[in-house]
Amino acid sequence: MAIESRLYSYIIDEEEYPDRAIIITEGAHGDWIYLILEGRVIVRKKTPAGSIRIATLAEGAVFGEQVFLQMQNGLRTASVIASGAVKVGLVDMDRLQKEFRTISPLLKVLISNIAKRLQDATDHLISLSLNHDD
Amino acid sequence: MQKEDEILLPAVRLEYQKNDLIVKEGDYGISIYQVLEGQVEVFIKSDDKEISIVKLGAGEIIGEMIFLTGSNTRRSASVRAIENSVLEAWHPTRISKEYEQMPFIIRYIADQSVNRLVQIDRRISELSRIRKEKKKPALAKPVKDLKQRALRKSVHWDCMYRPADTPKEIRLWGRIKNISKTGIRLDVMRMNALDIPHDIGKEFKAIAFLSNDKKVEIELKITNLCHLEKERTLSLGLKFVNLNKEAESAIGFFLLGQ
Repeated sequence: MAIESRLYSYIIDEEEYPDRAIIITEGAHGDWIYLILEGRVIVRKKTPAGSIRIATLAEGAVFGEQVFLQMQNGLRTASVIASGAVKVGLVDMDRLQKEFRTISPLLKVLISNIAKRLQDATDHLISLSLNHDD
Repeated sequence: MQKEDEILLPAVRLEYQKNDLIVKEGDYGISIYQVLEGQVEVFIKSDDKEISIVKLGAGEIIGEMIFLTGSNTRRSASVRAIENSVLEAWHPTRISKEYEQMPFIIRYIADQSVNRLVQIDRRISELSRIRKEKKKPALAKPVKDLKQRALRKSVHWDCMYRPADTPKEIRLWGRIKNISKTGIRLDVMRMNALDIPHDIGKEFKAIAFLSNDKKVEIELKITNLCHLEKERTLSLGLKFVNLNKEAESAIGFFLLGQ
C-alpha cells in the first residue's frame, strides 16, 4: 500500500524502530497516533491465556488511534511491536484535534462508535478463540 | 438554517415500548438511528439463541454499518428496546455528504477502522460457524468441510521432539493430533514442555511414532500456537521444514486415499 501524499502534511516527526521494539504498550498512557511509513508491526493483546497476536499492519496503516477516537481515558488498548525494522510517522495531534472539532456532533459520535465497536469486536473474537475447547 | 433544511431529509421521531424490536437482523434497511431517550440492546441470533452484543443509551447511534461499509447488505444485528425508548431515524444522506467531506486524516483513520471492524466481524462469524459445525454430528457437515478434512488427517501419534538448536539429550513429548501435506498439529502438556520456549518461528527436530509402528524423523517450525484447557495444554501448529523422502513415503500413506 503506497502512502497517500496528502498524509505527509500531517506527519510532524519520524521514528525508526528495530525488529521487536515495543512502540506502544497496552495499558500505558499515551495518545500519539502513528502512520507506518516503512515496514510492518504486530498488534498484540493480553488475554487470560497470555498475549496473542491480533493483527499485522503494513505501510500506510494507522495505529494508536483508539485513544483519540474513543475520547476516553488515555490508556492503550493493545501493544504494538515492530516486526522487522520499521519507520513510523507521528501524526500532528494539534491539527488533528482542531480538525476533529470542525465536524458535527453526530459524526463525532459515529466515529467514536466505530472505535468502540472495533474494541468490543476484538474482545469478542479473542474470547471466541480462547474457548475453542476440543 | 433555511439552506440546511432544504438538503436534509426529515428525521423521524419514533417511540418504542420496552421489548419492541427496532431493527431486525437480515432485513434490508438504510435508516440510521440515534437513541434520544431510554436504552436499547443490540443482539444477534445464533442457533436460535440470542447473543447480546452491546447495550446503548442516549446519544448513541445504531444501524450505521450499512452506510459506513457502503454495502447494500442486510442488517447485521437486531436491536430491541430494553426500556421505553425514543429514537430518531434519518436517511443516511443526512450524514453522507459531511462524512465524505470530513478532513482527510479523519476520514482516512475512520475508513481504516471500519475496514478492520468488517474484517474482525467476518472472523467472528467464521469462527462461530466452525464451532457450531463442530458441535453437530459428522453427518451434517457440508461438502466444503469434507474437502478440508481430506487434506488434514486426524491421528494420534506420540512424538518426541527437541529444539533444533539444543543437544540430543533434551527430550520433550507431545501428541500429534492431525497431519497434512504441509505440517502437523502437536498438543503438548505444558508441564512436559519444561522451560523450553515455544515461540512462533522456532525450529524443532522430532520423531513421530506412527500407528503402524514406523518411526519417522521430521524437522518442523512453529507457525502458530494456542493454549487449551486453561493453559494446561499447548497446541502447536507446525510446518515441515525438512521432510526427507523416507518420511514422506511413510506418512504420505495417511494423506492419500481419503
